[in-house]
Amino acid sequence: MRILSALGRILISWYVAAPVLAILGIAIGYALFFHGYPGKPKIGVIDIPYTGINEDAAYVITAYLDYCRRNPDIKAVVIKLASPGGGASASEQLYIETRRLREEKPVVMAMNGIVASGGYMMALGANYTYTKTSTLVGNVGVVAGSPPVLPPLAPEFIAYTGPYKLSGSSRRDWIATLDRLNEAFIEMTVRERGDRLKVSRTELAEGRLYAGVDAVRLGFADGIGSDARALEKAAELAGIANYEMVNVNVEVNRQFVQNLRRIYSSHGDAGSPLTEADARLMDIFVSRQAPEGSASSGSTSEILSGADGLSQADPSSEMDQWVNVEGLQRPLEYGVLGVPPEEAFPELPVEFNQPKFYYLHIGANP
Amino acid sequence: MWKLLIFPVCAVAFFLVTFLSSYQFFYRGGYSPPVAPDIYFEEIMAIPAPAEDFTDQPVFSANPLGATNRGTLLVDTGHRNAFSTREISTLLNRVNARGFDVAYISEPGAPALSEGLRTADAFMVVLPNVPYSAGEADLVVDFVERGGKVLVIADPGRPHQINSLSESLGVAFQPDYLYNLEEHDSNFQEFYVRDFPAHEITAGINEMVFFYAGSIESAGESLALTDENTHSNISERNLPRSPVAMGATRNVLAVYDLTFMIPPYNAVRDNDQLVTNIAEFLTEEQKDYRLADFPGFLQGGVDILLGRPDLFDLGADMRQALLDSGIPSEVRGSENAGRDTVFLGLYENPAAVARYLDSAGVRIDDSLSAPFSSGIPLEGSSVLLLHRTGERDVLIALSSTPEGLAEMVTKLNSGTFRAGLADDYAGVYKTR
Repeated sequence: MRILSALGRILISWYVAAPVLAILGIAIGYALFFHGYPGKPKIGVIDIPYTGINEDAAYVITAYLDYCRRNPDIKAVVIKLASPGGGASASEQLYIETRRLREEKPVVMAMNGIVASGGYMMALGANYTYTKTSTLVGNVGVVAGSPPVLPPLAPEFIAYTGPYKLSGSSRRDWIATLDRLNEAFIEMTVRERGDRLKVSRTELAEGRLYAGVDAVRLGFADGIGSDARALEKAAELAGIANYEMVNVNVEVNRQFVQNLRRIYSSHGDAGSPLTEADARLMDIFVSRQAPEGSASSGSTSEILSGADGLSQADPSSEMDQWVNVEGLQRPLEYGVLGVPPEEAFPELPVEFNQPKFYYLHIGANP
Repeated sequence: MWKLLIFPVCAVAFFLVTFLSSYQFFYRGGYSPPVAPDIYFEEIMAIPAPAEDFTDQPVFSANPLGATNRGTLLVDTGHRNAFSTREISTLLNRVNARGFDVAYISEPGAPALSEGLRTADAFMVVLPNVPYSAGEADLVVDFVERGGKVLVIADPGRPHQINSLSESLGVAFQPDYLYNLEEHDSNFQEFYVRDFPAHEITAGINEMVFFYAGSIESAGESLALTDENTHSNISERNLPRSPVAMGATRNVLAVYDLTFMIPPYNAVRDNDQLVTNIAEFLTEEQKDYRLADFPGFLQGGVDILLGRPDLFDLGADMRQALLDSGIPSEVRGSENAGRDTVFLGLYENPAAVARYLDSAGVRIDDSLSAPFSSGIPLEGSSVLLLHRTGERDVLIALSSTPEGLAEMVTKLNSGTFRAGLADDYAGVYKTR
């Protein structure tokens, strides 16, 4: 009893209690700050190499944007973008998702190479845009296959219920729709750029591609700057300092691998969960081939061969083999990002009667 | 007791110091998202110009049964032309409504073209993709010089080699397209034109919409002048340009847009009026036919008159030959001064055609005398004459014997008569 009493006296003595409680307070403060709220600030960096934006690319990029939006540690986002645009709905999807992200976290666009048409539409969703002097920016407009002036006569053995049931519209209506989409793109540009834009709607409608130095002067972009400058601007807009960077491409792909592992390990169970998102990612992953001659093409082949081997006897050990593959860090991107428009859109150059619209610069990649 | 309270306070203080200093180290403010601008997509509209009512009223009406053949429009399809007849059906229907037949030339090359132009009053060339040779172009120039009408049409949206012909006619189609970003129909390439200089081609036209048109440089008049907001894609200069122009002569018309005449585009604004005016242009006058153009100068119902009743078989042969060329005819017993006529007879009965012989300076007595020669023996010879007035054409074939006349008719129908022509309207032949 006396021992306990002596121990109590020691504990409440200044010499012992003060350091213990100080350490305890610091530890709790540290733990709460770094592991609870608000955490060490991070800037998510999304890398979109020269990419023709087709539906798959839009899906993967949307997954990156969604990751940034949902991750509370990411306080700002920098998107390194190079794209000549792509499909109309895919490009618009990325604009909408970028704008949605901007409503929660600052988004700064670092434009490289060429950011044209649908790529530029995506950039409109950002808070701030940096370009290099040599980056080509703009090219507001729409392209589409043009149906023939007179529709082909339908064979007698095809019965149909309306004059436009087969073609969907008259050529005149189709051309008018094209014009409406262009007007919508112009409206987006005018509204998003606001007073910063120094060109008229008519000049916008010309669809010119501007060098970065002109793009800034005319208000298509906000400043000349590198990726590092974009990070600084993102931190400034978010009000953070001493931040970490998160490679969103790698993180999302890592999550994908984990999902893949979960699906794979539960393969064969009658009730194995396969969410719609998992299924879609699986579909993209399995259906894509690595670009010929790419640095990790061999690895991807292994990945693909493993994916084909889903029904093999010992899936978990094979899965571990995949995870060790270096190329698995970016499995979603193979055949999706970094794909030029001529590969992303095999139908180019656009053909007659293609019921598709594109926000796409179809000139050469400078 | 106060010591017991101060310990947790100190702990909280250390916690706050740690937390706040960390916060201050990493966070310098907050993010205030910008106000997202509203985009009123529902207000974005592009409404094409509506269809206008239009009734074609030809000056010359065709006989409902097609018997009134006032002339022939020859349409080139022999140069891999990039159009379908469905696309020009509106124009062709109006040409038909004015009493003109439509014929097609389906082979390239000077011989086929020469043969086709011989019987044509007007010639239409749309988007040829095989260049016209110099020889072919010369034939068309000769056709124009003789009063034939030529319509050349191209479209910037389709490949063509139209300049291989049109430059010989004083028209150059530029390698451009015109556009207007300020005011247009459904697309920036579908622009309005409201400046039409007074001309038969532009009569009744106040406003048109061209659908993907280019500009024409011409030695003749420009007939549809663009405004200051309409530009050429290959030039920074802002000049009035024209997608419709006359050639070096008033017999050549050039249009650098095919779409405007294709339904439903022809129904927009005054586009239909231009289609009608082009039809009038193609059918209003007839070319200066020559004997070598037989049977092209014979139009409508043709009368065949015989010098003697026993020449009836020759009359029947001629009737069949004309029918093969699409020209209906009848063997008659007397002359009708209102109809084109073919006279087949012998030297012994020139009285029926005496006034035509006199008019041509041909005299038949012991020998045959004509402005180009005299003293031609009657025996073993035949003569062909074409008498033209503004109203009718009379072709006269005379010979010394029925056999000689039969040979003459054969030469006529085979075309070999052209080798014996003495001038544009007469020929003398050695026959049996």
